[in-house]
Amino acid sequence: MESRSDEDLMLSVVEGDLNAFNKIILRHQRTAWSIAHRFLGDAAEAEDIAQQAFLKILEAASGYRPTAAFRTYLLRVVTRLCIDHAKKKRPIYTNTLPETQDRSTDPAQSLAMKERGTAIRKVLDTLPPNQRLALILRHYEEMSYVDIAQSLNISVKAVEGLIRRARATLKTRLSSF
Amino acid sequence: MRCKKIVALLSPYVDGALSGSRKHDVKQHLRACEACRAKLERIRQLGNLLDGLPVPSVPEGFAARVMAEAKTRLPETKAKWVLPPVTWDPLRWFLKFSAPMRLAACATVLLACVVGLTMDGGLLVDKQGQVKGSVQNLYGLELFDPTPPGSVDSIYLAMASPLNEEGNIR
Repeated sequence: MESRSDEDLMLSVVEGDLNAFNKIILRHQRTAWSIAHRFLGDAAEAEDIAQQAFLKILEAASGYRPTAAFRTYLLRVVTRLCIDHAKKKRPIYTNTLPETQDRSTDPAQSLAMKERGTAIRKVLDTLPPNQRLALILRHYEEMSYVDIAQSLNISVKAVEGLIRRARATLKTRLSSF
Repeated sequence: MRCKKIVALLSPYVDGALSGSRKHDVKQHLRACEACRAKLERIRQLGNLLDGLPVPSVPEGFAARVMAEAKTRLPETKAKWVLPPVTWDPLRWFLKFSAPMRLAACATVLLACVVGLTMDGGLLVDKQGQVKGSVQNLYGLELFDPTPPGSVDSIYLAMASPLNEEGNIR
């Protein structure tokens, strides 16, 4: 099991050690992928964003300084790419959800879960990108407001406002659940 | 504190982002206000609802694809793969070649040895200790005039010469 810290691995990447870069990817691919997927709702686009994030980090490796946790740095890159992507593209309201393991044995429950998931996906897609990201980082990545603020490069007060407004929208549009 | 202000703080309160007097004020208010407690509960329910959004696992081979792309995009990156230790057996390596190749390699080495010995002087002199004319011509050796017999130089040369006075190797 790799015991070196992210920052230590990144310093090796700066020296040209691609093995270390591979370890960085393996360690953080789930984070990058899940944020991108929850934000975009599309597997192919999410993979593209996650891949771009790691490649951007590699390209900028020569300027890397471990002044903050690597995870914060990665999230900043991923969220930036997500927001840029959202600006270029109008959201697609997807009616289908990715196939995931369905642990429910009750067909009715399974169907209800799928309907709920679809509804959540739709509402998330209507949120402004910043609100969507703040909510994703808070709820799914369980990040603190301070870390979210660093990742989105905004103030903690701004994070409070984003999450509050996102929840207000969810409350209204998911009132039937 | 009035409900309107408290409602604005419920979100960070649920997320544990409040501290100090703000947190205390919300807590105090919630004790007394059922409406705000209901709003707080709704925020928690929304959280449970959000858990119902599935996300698949990372696509298989994702890391490998990123690495492949990294190598094509950044050829100037100093790729410094840490190679596994290599154990190399020269004899085994030599035996991999065909017999004619091995023979040619041995002949080349032998020729190199002969040339080396030739250059060394062992084959340069004849039985009389004189430099062979053919060698002299071949290598363009320039000879000095013989040293005067009995001189210090002649004694030194005699000591350094591979042949004794009878013309035999010392």
